[in-house]
Amino acid sequence: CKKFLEESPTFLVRDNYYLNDQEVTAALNGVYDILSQETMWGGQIPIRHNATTDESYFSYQTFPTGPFRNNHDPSDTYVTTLWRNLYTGIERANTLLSKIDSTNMDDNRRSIVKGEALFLRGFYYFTLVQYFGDVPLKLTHSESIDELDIERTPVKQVYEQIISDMKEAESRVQPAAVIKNSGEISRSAVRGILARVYLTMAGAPLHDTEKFKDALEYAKKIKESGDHVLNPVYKTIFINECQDIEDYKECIWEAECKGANEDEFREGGRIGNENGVLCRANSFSVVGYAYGFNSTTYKLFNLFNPLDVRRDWAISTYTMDTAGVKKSIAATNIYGRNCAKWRREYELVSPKNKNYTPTNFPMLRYADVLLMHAEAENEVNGATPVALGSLNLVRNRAGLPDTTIADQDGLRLEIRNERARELCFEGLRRHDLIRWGIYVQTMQDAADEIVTMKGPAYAAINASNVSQRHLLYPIPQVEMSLNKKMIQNPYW
Amino acid sequence: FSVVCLLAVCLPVHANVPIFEDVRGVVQNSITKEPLAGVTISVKGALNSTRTNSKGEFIVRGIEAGVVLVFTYVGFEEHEVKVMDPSQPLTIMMEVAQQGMDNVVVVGYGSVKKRDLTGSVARLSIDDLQKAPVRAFDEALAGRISGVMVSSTEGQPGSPTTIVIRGNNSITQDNSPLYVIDGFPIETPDNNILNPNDIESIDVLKDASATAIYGARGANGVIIVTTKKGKDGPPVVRYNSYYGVQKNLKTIPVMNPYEFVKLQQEVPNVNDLDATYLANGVTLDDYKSVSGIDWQKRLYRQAPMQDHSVSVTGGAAKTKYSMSGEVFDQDGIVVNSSFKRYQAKLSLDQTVNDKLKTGGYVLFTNTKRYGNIPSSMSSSSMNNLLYSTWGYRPVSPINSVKPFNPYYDETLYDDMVNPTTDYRLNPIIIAENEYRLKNVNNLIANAYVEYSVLKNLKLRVTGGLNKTMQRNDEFNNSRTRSGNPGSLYGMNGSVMYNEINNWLNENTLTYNGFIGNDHKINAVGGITLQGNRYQSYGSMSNQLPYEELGLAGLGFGEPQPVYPELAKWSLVSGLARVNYSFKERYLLTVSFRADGSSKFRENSKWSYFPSGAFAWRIGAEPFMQRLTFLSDAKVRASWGITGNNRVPEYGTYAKVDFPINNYYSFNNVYGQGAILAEMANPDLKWENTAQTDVGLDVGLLHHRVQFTVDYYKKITKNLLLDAGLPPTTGYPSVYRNIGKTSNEGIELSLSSINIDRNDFKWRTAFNISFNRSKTLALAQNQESMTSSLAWDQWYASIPLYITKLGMPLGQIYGFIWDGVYQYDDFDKLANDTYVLKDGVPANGNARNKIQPGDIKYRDMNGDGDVDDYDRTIIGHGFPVHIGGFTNNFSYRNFDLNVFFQWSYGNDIVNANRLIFETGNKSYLNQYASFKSRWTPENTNTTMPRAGGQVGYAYSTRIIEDGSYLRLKTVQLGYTLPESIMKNSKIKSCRFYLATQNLYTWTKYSGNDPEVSVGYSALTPGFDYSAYPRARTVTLGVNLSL
Repeated sequence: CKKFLEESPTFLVRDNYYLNDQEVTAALNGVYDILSQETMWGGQIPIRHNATTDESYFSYQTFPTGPFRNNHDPSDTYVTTLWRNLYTGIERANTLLSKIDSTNMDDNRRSIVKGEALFLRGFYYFTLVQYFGDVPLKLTHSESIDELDIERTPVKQVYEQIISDMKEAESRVQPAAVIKNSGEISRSAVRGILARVYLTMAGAPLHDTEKFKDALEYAKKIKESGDHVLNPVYKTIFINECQDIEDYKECIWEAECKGANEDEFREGGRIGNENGVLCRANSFSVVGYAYGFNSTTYKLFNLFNPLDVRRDWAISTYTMDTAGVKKSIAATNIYGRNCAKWRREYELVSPKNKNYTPTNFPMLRYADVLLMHAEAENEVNGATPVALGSLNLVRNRAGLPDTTIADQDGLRLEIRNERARELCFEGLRRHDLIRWGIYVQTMQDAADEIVTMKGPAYAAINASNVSQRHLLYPIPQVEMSLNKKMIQNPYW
Repeated sequence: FSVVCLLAVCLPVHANVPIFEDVRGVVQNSITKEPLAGVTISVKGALNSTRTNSKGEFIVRGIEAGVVLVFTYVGFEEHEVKVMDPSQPLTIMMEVAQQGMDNVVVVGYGSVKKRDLTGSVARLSIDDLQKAPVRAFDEALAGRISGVMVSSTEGQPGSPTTIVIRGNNSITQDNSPLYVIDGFPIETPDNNILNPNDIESIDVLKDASATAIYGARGANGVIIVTTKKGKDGPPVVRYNSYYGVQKNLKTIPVMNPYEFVKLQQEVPNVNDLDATYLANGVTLDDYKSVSGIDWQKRLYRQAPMQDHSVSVTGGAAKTKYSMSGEVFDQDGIVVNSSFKRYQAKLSLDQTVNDKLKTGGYVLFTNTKRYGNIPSSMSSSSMNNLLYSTWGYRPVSPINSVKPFNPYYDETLYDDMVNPTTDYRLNPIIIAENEYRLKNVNNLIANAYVEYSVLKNLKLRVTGGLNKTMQRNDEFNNSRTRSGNPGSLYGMNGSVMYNEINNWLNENTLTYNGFIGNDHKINAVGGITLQGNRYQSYGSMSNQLPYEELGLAGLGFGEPQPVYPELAKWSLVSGLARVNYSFKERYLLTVSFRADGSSKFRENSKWSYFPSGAFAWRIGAEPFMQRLTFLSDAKVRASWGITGNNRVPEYGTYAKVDFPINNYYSFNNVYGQGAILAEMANPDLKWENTAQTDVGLDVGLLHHRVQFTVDYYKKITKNLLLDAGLPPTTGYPSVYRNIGKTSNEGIELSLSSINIDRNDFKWRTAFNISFNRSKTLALAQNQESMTSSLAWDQWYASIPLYITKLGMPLGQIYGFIWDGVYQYDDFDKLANDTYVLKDGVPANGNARNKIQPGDIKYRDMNGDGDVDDYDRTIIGHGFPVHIGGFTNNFSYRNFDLNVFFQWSYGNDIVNANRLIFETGNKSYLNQYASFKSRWTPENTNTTMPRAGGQVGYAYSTRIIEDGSYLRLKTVQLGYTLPESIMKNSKIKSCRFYLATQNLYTWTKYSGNDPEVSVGYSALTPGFDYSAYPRARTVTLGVNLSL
């Protein structure tokens, strides 16, 4: 009778998994999986969460609420999904890390896997603190359903853990020159993100300016490794991403998408589709359908020197009609220009899916590392030739001459503008503005600009909605209602 | 049935009465005059009995004048006759049972006379139910039995119905009752497999005393279905047949060509009217004379429905058999939808000797359901069939500048809309071309052996198998929504199988006897084993190149992954029940069941379900005999615990899964991703419902008036809840025993024989039930939980229902609608623009965008804007009371059955109006009701202007009263007089005219108030693109040879 009532599950069970290299690798892929989801860097993080800044606006009126309109609230889907996905990734990493020591596998390989999982956990926490501030710091996997309440850990402590995870990862993962692709976490990727973490710690809200030195050191490590150079042609970076060509020298780390959801997997993303040049072509399987959700502000467009090759690549000069034919945009029409970094016409997958693209998203480019290097150097040592050297590498590639700004404040502003020119639409601007401590003011200015320049009225409203409370997202309602120890962010 | 057997087997006793004379006679059905075979005739006070033969004739040998003969027959009232002159032949007219106290009802593992019943068990009047021309019994069940709520999703042939007994216990899990079909417990039956005419009886066990014998699965109530079996006597051939037509009850008026074009002038984003409808000097008035296309008229049809069944039953003393076959064929009122059933059944009972009896039966059913389900929810509301039907343009532009397809009613695309943003397609073409088939083969095979161990002790061993093989075919050719050349995946198709094998072994010992004269004991004990295996598999392909090959060409497309599933559960139970009665007045029932389930682990595997009931037949007390109007009265009280195990088979394990969207590619090589799909709860255990029931059964005026009232209260603890988890855990939810609910209600049923003359009879039956549910606990820390329905991408995450502590389930949640903004809500600026006055709250839209005629919602918290915090409870999805009212008339050879059914106090979310009373999409036709919209010329209205319903919100505007009273079934029959039949071989012949859904009184503006798209305990009463309900008129014949 006892035996009769035993039915073993017809699926794999957590406690019998993580036994060998193959299973651990699959579990690690599961930790990576969060990155390229369409609700994350495969789409919504750059396209919706970072759509409304001083460099871009959300050019689609139909969506009634969301962070891109800055009218979101604690039950907002985008906010909730972001929170949920990051903790799901952390849970996967925590489970892997708790099991891997007893896995039957090669020790070198074990160390690498551990390093990648630690880095990803650190990166997910980094994303969490940036968006939500104090967050529960959970370093073991969920086991008991009776102990679910968990309180928030101060930002500072979360950062300490992020640094510790990433530094351990640095010692475990392989150099970029060994990996030779942009998908897998390389030592350069860890170092570059560490530089970003330190820069963020040096700015708001922690203002731990000592960390500029660490940022500088980590950016320098990458520069000095010799593993990375800028791709000589700016647009090739993005064409490569559309074509699944991984130039790890420029694109140190990418969120990888693949296929068009037409094969047996569903690993396509929305890059180039939601944030491509508006194209509602009937023959979309050839031309590529795009919604044009993200468009330039007057400010971004005019930050570019007309000689700058990046302007007319990052920002469209044309629209596409229902026949898929390009029509030039009038010179005076600035707000009608969409993000054009990733153009679907370059995709090699055929037939093209209406909504999903194989396009990878840049998580960390060498150009960003150079600009971080310049920024940290300028903050630590002033407008030195070292700082100018890194900045000018980026400028020269864009077809611009060297800049010779010699004062720290002037260079600071120039680097901030350079970041907009080089990295626009890459999901970095919002947190740059926040760490520089100028987010609220900049967004009010952005709103005024749209009004003054007669841009779309709703875009001005989206920008002007930003107030002090928008420095952080609200803690999602679902967490608030189920976790007794959770408290809401200020002003929400 | 089993009581009849019992008498036959256990009572062959010699009579020692002086022999006087033999009495002869015949027994007939009092209404149909059909002879009744197998009626048991016993002499009151003696033990001998006999039966009628196939012609209804009997002989009782050797009785003296003055004895009383008792006639008993399942489904008929017991009949007693005092024999004054044994030499005179008798003609006995037996009355069909009307919930009388003496009827036998089937309870778990036995049957009991209603008189001796201690629990709350209702027997359905099967004759009344069979008056309804319906596909399956559940379609005619609503309003028949108190406490049983039947919600039908929509009107599509074969569409599922949800049956809930005494309210929903469970919040997130299945609340459907346990079905026991011929002794076989089935948790998820397909009621379509049973021919309603083949059902002998349906008994509904409601209180814990009755259901506790089904222990772990009894909490939601039990429906016991017994099918017809063989009977003593020469073969009786029955032929039942009807043919009829169904017609749509109601269509929704949409705008005519003139109104449609007039609307386009106001729809935002329509800016090319002067190149389309109003080009080249064509004026609005020109459309007054154009007739336009009525798409609903083309989509709906008058559809035939027919049923033919033949059965042969009979038996000699030791062998009884029954064979039957049925063909049922129903076309749907929407083109290309239909339902068919083919059924065959064979049953055999054999008495081997005095002690041993054996038998079994085999029932095979094939059902085929064709056609797309118009209400099935997808990511977009534009995918639903009625979206295209109501919305498709009724007319093409006259003399337009832009060229438009003049044959638009014959082509797939609407060339006036962009197919990549609006999925409107020709509704007739898609309905005709989308191939959907659900093909179900179901086999039930049961066998039993019954052995009399002692005179009063019987062993019964049964074994059975219920096997379901279901195949779902789907093919989307180039003229369908998902397969047209502009679609995402091209022509596509799939063939999916799922198989359920469920087996059962039951071993019971039954004791029936007296201790002395006053103490009667009926006891049953047993052990049962049940196992279930579910498996699914199939294949699916996109981008199919060869349309003409259909599903045969699946191999030539791009294969899509199909994840086969396999799941097994097993259940071991021990059960015991004792019915004790003292002097037939004091009745006591105690039952106990222990269930062990494979779904739970070690310490939680077993659970125990006790119950007890007491009844006092106060009417039988000597001191009550003075009250002559009182024929019987019984008070009952019961308490018990029952369970629910409706969780997935392996809910206690943490699953590692490999979904196709959780892979990751490195340098463009896919790597399998392992993800943690679920959090484990190894301590998961049974959900327990404690139910108390107090009831009163009263018979008045020689049982002419019968009435039963019950009060119950159920508290469900350790509720199996798919409980939300804080996302910081990394999981969305886990099955936990955490919730708590209560249901409390009153049920009343009343039946009476109003007129009982030889040539004219009138009976009525009435029932009404009230249930109120209350949520007592949700997931930890949770005070409320909202639910949404994914009928449209924009509404998918907007809360529509709320479950709050202390409140009933199924509360509708949203804004209070306050009409529209009028001119005086605005300041008019110099440039003729309108700006909302300070102090007038916004509606969720930006203040500077709100214009006169826009929808207005109530700002509940007075913060000047309408947002999340202004939502409130705006409706109740469950009714205050439900019920039914039956009248049976017979006059000479005519009989008439009239059945009303109602639901009162429930609200319906008419989501259709969110799309078709809004006027915000170019060239999308709207309901005619939208004519009353706000325009500068028509400001005295509450209907928002075209495009004035901004954003996506549910409000009281679309919440409608879903109460209805329906004249559901009317059947008029005529039985040919015996005088005509005498010389033919036909024993009886009856013709009838039957109608279903004849008339409905309701305020609901949608197709039909009996609607529940996307039903769950949390989301009742939602309507979007529901398949309309039909009115059925049939002509039929009942023939017996």
